[in-house]
Amino acid sequence: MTAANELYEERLKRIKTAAALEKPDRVPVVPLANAFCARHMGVKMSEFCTNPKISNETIIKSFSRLGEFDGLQSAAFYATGLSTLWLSKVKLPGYDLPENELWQVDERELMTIEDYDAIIDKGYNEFLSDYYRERLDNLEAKLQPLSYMPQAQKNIEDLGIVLFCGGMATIPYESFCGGRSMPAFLKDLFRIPDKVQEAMDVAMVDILENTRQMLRAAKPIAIWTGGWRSASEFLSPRLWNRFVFPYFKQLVQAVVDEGVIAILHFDSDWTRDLEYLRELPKGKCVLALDGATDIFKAKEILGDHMCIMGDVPSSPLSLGTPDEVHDYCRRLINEIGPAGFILSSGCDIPPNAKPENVKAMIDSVK
Amino acid sequence: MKIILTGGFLGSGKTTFIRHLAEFLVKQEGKRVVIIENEAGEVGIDDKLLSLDGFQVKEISGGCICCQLTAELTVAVGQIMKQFNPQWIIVEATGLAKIASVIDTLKKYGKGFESVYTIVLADAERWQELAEIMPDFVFSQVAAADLVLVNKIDQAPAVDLTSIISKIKEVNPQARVESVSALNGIDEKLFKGLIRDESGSTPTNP
Repeated sequence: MTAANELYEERLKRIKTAAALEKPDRVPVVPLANAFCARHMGVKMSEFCTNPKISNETIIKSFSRLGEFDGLQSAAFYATGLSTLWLSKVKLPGYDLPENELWQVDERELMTIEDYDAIIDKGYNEFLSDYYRERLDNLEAKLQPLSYMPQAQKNIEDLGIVLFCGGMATIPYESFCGGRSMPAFLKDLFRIPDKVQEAMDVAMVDILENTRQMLRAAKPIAIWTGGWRSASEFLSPRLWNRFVFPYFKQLVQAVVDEGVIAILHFDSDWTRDLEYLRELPKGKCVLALDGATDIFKAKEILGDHMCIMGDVPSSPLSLGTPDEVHDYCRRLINEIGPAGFILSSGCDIPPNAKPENVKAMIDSVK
Repeated sequence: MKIILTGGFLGSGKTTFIRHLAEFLVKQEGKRVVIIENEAGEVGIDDKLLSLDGFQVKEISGGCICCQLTAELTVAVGQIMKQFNPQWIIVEATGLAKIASVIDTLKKYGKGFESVYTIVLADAERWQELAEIMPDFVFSQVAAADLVLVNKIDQAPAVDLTSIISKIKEVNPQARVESVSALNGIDEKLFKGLIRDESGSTPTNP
């Protein structure tokens, strides 16, 4: 076994131990960073987010300068791929934006109210095929660069680094909300809730099957099963319990049934509904928070049920000092860990984060 | 330099209001003003409209989500201060921003500005619907405001304005509440009152 292989196995064991709610030899650190790496390495954002090979090389170079960490949540990045989750176009630097700006999901009402019937009548996959071609400018063809992803994964694993997120899947709420635009979608929930739910139920059949097929082909350790527009703070309890949680339950169960860890990448504030997450399979999920949900409350409610990951927020990474970041990380390690905890940034490390602050986060687990 | 932070859910009329406010500050008061646009989740035409009016606009975008925007905003405030040295910065927060968090971050990490005054726009036409769909979010926005503007009253003749205002005052008894139709223009008295109130708003650490 090579040194890199040994390192990989050691780190994988550390992460899996934490995910299973046990105490590893030390808290693992598994950052998520994309645009930060581009800025850190002086790579044009327009090249970084449109070329997975360049983003993979940039991520590897950036993190090689930031200390010893266990894994990454992203091996490469391709901004157009976000359209498959949120059914929106993505404005790209160098094309729609200045070449060093961050990409931007361009939320517009691309999905019409009649599309709910189209989903119900045709099924979600057939609807998506038409939608990708007609509303998202032939998205299927634009996704071709994603074929580099297996090589990107191999490139980081060859260095002994674990790729902790090997795919993405979400619930119909997130996709419909992105496609309809949030103001229009909320109107739909208010005015035609039964129709929306019927379309969600139909869509879910294909989403679950697509997810199973993806997992069987890629065999990842864990996948991103996230949301942000479906966060508790954006929806009343009654609507959240009808349109959000039942679908997450199905998605997470399908992922876990395939032997894969479900990373609940929950952006925005989910504090109100943390108790419901106890209904998800014990020791099989990782709750990844971005600083908006109260992570200490999450520990109190879910600490014996699921691993918690996070949540160094973007503000101290961008605007704080290494000491401030270190102190917050130590608090997380001591109060959320040391068992059942993975240290990470809250969501993506922001592009303007100071490298010394990211390094302070990584070094804090020593 | 003073900051006016403008919040309100997507489509509540923030951009229209900001155009009137910027015009008042520049043309009536002769102030140097820069507008910061947070674009996440908004239709991207907003900043172009403002730029066309001749205002200095700085746009910040947030990738796929808005968890990064607060830090970007604080950085942008510092850059604008150095580059333009305006007397006022008007910030249009994203329609999904948690206003209290934005204020906290600005006060904790921002430097060189005197105060933050917060205006939240509530869409009269959609108030009832949004208060039912997303109560936590709607009320948390209102709770963080110094001034709440119940907007689009021209488009909502049938709504019970008194009950909306009463609910807002119940959530935030300290805030001033006014009803307006930003599309049809804003009475200068409101802006003059705003500037008077602003001088009494919470100062930040210089």
